[in-house]
Amino acid sequence: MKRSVIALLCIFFLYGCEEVVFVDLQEAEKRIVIDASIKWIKGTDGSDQKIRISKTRGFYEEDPIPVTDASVTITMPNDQLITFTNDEDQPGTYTTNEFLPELNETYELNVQAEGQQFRATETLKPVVPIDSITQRNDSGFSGEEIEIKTHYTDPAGVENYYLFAYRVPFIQIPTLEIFDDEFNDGNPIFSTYQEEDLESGNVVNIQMQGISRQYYDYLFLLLSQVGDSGGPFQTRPATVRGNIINTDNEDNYPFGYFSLSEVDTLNYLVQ
Amino acid sequence: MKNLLYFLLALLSYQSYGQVELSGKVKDKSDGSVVQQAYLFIKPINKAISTDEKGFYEISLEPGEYIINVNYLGFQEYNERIRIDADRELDIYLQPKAESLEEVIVEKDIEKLDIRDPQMSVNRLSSETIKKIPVVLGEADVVRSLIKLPGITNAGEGSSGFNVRGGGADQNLVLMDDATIYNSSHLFGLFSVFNPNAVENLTLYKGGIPPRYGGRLSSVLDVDLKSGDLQNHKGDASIGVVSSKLNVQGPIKKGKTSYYFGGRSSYAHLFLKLTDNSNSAYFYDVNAKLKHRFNEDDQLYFSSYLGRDVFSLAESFKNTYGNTFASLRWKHRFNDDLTSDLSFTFTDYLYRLNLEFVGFEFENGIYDLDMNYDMNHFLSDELQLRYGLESIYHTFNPGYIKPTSPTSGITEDQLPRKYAWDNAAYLGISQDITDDLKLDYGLRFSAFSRLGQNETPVYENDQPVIYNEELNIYEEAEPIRTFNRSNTEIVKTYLNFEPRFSASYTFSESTSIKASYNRMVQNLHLISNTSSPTPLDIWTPSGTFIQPEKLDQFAFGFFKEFNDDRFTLEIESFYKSIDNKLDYVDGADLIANDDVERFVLSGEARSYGLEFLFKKNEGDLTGWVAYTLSRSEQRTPGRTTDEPGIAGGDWYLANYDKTHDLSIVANYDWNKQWSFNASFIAQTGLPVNFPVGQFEFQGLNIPVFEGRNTNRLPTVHRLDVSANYKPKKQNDLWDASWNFSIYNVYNRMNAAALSFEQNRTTGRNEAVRLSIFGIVPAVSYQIKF
Repeated sequence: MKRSVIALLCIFFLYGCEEVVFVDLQEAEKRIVIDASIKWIKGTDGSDQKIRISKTRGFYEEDPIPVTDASVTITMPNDQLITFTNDEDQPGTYTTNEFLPELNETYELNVQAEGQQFRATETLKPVVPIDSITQRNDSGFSGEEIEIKTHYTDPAGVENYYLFAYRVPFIQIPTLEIFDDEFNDGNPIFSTYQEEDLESGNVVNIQMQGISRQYYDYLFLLLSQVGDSGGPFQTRPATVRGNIINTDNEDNYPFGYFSLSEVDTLNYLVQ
Repeated sequence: MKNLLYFLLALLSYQSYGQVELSGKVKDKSDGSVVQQAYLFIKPINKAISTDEKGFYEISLEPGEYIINVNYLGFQEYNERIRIDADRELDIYLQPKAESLEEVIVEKDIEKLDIRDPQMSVNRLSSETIKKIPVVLGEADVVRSLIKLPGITNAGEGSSGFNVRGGGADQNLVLMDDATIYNSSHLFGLFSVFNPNAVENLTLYKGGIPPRYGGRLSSVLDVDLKSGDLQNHKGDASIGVVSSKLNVQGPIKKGKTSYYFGGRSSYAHLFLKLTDNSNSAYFYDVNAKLKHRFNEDDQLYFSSYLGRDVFSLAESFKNTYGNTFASLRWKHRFNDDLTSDLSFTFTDYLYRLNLEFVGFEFENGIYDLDMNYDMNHFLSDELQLRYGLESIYHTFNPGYIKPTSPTSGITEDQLPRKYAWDNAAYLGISQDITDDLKLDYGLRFSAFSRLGQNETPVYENDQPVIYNEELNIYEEAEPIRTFNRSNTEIVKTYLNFEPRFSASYTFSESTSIKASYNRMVQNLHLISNTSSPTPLDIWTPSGTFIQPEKLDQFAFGFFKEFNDDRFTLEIESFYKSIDNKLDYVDGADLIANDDVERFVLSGEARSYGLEFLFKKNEGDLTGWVAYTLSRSEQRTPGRTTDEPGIAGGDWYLANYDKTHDLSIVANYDWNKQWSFNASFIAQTGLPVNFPVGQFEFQGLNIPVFEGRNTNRLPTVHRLDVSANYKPKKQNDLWDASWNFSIYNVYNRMNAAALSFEQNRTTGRNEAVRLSIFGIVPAVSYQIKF
């Protein structure tokens, strides 16, 4: 919404506005990053899972720094230990085909990397199915943009949190949206996706996942400051700490999050 | 002890023998109102004396014959020969000139530095000066003019409100005809809510704040609106690039009742409509005022205001916000020495968001009922009192949401309203100890009561914010239960004494020093996690979990006039410290939030600085150089030693801190037709955070930030110029004038923000600078009738 406000101001005055500039930046000490999102896609057995481990790098550095010698395990609710192994073709990506998803059960992640021990626990959150997709073609600032709505029905009487990811081939980054059900508990509701370059014939990949309250709070902070440094309309950025802790030295904390979600997904062909 | 005091007072009032007193008042013959700061020349001895704020003058003379001459702008010259043998009272009535030069009088009156007045840290502007200062898009603006004075800044182009001496934008008490204005901005801060043509004058107190004001920590901006002329109908109108204005005034019954009406509206959205674009952004405001004089002693005023901003984006999004107030005021004079001012005010601030594409409307706001009784008591030339009572009943609506279509998935909901009752009594004393030493001192006693509400939350261990030791983050506590409590029941009361003191000591006719101390208490808190408040930020009252914020300010100043006050120099230094400064925890989602205590911790803040103001007051070339060197910071340590607090509990810069702030404003009257104005600013960029790294997460590059406000935006500088042209040939009906202006003459792309983001097409990280205005030429046309 803040972006719309800025856009409005710019159009309103026909002046401005955005220009890419180079800023000389400092780099902080590197930290371990654990991107552990376990996704159980509806209709699959959820046994194939992957976890990525890397290190932070300078803001302008393009090449990722994978961590390849980590040991990664998840302890199942039945205390069974599942080991993730490093994928030779994708350095820093650890995979398994033995994962057993169970809704509302708690899992523990353990990672050993660069001589440090990291741990996190989280619950696998269920999600309702996507009911339908609708489209309109008269949306956005120009009144000619395509807008897609993903409809679903929130379960009544429980707190639910959702993460939606929209991906199109011509945009390099997914659009992530998070929702809670504070004002629409138990109602049919929808998530909206608007993209000015969207055209008829494009395929939009839609993922809807159930997430925990804590992961919602984490994403709220993370997403609110992607693209920020603190202008007058912007939220002040801050260090975003996830749910993974360093059990050897708590000051040497990692970035990233351990989450487990049931996911409904579909590809929508824009009409 | 008491006798000694009497003796001292007697000594001070000792007067030379053999002289007689001439005293009286200078009044406007048309309506009997007093004329302040009028100079009386006594010939042939060539003594001069000016009237005080009650129009009163007094002078000791040898018995004899004199000529009294009063020459005051806007009035015909007064000359009278008098004979004086004993003490004598003489009231002088001035005849107004046919064409009034009202604004000029105001300017001469109010902006001049009074080196003897103990009141320091005060800035005054007349509507005439405001209209001369070039501003963006040719729109004269109150706040945009104020920030060119020392100690006053804002968070840059396109930001709301203003910051005084390192204080937050929510720490300013903004009064329009004594009604509290909760959001002083139009178009997200590009303009302020004051129609410059309707402003009579304005005063900004940065320190030494008189006891009659309270409720905010940093400053008081007191704006008086014009009352209608009791004799003649007149008005003005203007057409500019952004807005048009129309102001009319005049008598309803001559000499008794008058009206004033001012309206302004932007109309850029009409052009958007012409281009078949359904987006829109506009604002309007309306001022209306009635004045009725029952007799010499009783006057009744009704003043009202309505302002709205509307943004809408196609059919999907509509955002409306604004202030409203209505006030009734009765001014009564008991006798020459005692006057009273009783007022009742209703104010309302509303924010509404309609998201058509989701299908809901959201509303929040604040409503106040305010009663104020103020007495002005003139005991003697050396001793004046100002005392009174104030009572405000606040209602806060943190959020109301309702579905706007049958297919909407939103359930109607009202977040529990909050209530508070705010009472205060005050006494201010102005005392002249000697001719050279003058004091203003007093006390404000405030009692703020938080009242009951529905769904009052109860937290485990009374802790609304929990520290998660494992993850090292602060989290909101879930209430363990809630209960309903009547809004007539007092839940918590905060009593506070707020002492105020200022003194001036005059060394010579042209040099003085002043010192002041004030304590201020703020019970309404605007928690914002952006640099400048956004219209949807919600005010929250002090209560069980949120304590009042308290400020102590010390200021010291040196004042000098040169060349018969053609030039003035003001140097002030200040130190402020704030207790219980609220700060949001990282990641706070402040929108539609009913329990702000779950997101904030209490810490402390301090600011200090030096301010210079050098002014040239007379001649064809007038203007000023203002420079401020300051620092404003805050810290929020953990509540226990196990907690890190906010930003590690270390001091960090306030969002609006600016180390250097320089403004140069110059006005040159070339001839009767042309005048030129230029203003230059240069200031340190605002504190921000640059990323110190990045990581990949779920397909996104996430920038890594550490600490708060550790970097700065680039230095801001800009030159604006304008020219006023008054054609020689004017018609009989009105006077016309043109204003041509260029904002940002050398097209400096000042950064309003830097965004560190991933390019959507290439996926690469980049820094994007957002500049709001490049060079902006504008023209406006005004008529006066």
